[in-house]
Amino acid sequence: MRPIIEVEGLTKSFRRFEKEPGLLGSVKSLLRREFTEKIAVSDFDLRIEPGEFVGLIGPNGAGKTTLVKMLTGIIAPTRGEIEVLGFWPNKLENAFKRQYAVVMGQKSQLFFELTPVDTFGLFKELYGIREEEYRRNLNYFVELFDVGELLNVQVRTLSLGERMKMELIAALLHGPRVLFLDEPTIGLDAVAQRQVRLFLREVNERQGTTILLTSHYMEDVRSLCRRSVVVGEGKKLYDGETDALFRSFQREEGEEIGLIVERIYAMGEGA
Amino acid sequence: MKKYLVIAQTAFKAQIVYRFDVGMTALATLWKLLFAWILWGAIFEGRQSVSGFSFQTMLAYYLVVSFLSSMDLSSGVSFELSNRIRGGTFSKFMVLPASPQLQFLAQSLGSSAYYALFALLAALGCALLFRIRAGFSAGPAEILCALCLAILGLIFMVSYHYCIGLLTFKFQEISFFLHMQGNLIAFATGAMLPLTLLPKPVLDLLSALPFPHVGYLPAMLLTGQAGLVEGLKGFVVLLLWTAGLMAANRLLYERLRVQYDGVGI
Repeated sequence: MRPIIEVEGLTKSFRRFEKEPGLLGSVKSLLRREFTEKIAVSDFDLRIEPGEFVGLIGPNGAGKTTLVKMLTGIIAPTRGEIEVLGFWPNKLENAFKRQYAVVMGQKSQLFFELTPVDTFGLFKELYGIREEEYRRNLNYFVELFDVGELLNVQVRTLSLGERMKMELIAALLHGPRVLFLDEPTIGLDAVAQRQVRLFLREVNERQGTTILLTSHYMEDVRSLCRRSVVVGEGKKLYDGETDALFRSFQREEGEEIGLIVERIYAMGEGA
Repeated sequence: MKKYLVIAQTAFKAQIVYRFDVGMTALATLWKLLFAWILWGAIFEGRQSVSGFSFQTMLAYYLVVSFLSSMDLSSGVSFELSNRIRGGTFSKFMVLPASPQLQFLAQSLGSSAYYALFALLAALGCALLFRIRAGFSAGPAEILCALCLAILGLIFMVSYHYCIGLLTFKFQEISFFLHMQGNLIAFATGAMLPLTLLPKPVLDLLSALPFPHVGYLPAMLLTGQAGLVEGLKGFVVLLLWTAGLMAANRLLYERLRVQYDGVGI
């Protein structure tokens, strides 16, 4: 079977504007701009098979979100090979965009002034979902999350957890083959985190949706992803079973990802 | 096509939430007309006409351009686009299976449709209040032509502001440009004063541009100051500019979006 995501030697570098501190530095920068190059993702190889649930973990600034942005076509790679669902993502073809969904914890697809159902109705047309399929999917997800009473409430009045549930429903209505999740549980309380995890597991197991999840919360990755990819300074440090990762590199329960990454570096176990 | 209609409907629904803001915008028509009434009342003192305009026709002209400019929400497109590109939330439009240009167009026209309801009520109220019915003397063909120009004008203005907003990909910060061009556009569309008051070479030069056909020409048609032939010529000029600009925007977007870094999310 062809992999759903195939990436080879993927690199992304950004040009960053730098200036000396203070007013003088600002004035100087007006006359002479200085830029530095930041390599966000470096020579990255990745292969994900259909139906996998993969955790992408790493500390802040490791390059996880940049990688997701390249996989969804939002940004163009600097160099390297990338193929998602048989497409070059940054061409942003509609045929490609209809087959995936992306949910970013800190960014919303919902219309804040309107109700979730208004956004769902819009997505139905945007993705060309047939009425019957739309009804079936909506009922299924609404029941799964138990959010029937919130469908006609203005989005801006929903709590963070309720909003994230609606974001996930909006993303999954068209039955995407791949779901990219960037910190979906960020800021949620323990109960909402658990509900989101149960929902994602169900979607992966029952619907066969391939999921790539980036998260700071070890519990997200540990409970959902059989496979984990650890990223540090834009490089792949580990790619393998999640259980093995935690067995080998985690010393204490609840330890932060930064410590695990440091340990991987120290042990020279980069992938 | 249906998806863009639903985007427009959604924008329309979102506007309904903000009744106060829309009501105040409609009132702006009244203020503009009141200002024109005072200013032109002084200029018309002891005169029957100025450059072929009677006082009533002049007020009718201002009523039409005020109505059209209160419906035109296109400047919001360049601001929103610019902010989203700089703030990284433009990604939202990139991942949806629809053209970002048409998404912004549908969104803006949907909002305009709602403002049009209030602006029309305000304009009718003003027409009664200032007794300027006599200033309108267009036939059905001219009215139809003016209506087509007004709709095409809205599409052009959204495309124009979308184009300006896209420049953020290249220059990051374009707010100075956004503020500066606002006054120029108001002048070139005839929202400040009827362009017929300008010297003929300037008017001829402006007629080759799209802006006079967005506000000035529909107002001139409805007040009987311009004929159908002039209206049709203006429509063709505006249509060519709109089609050209939309095609250019598509190319510009494809060329510039590769510079997008989606930071801030």
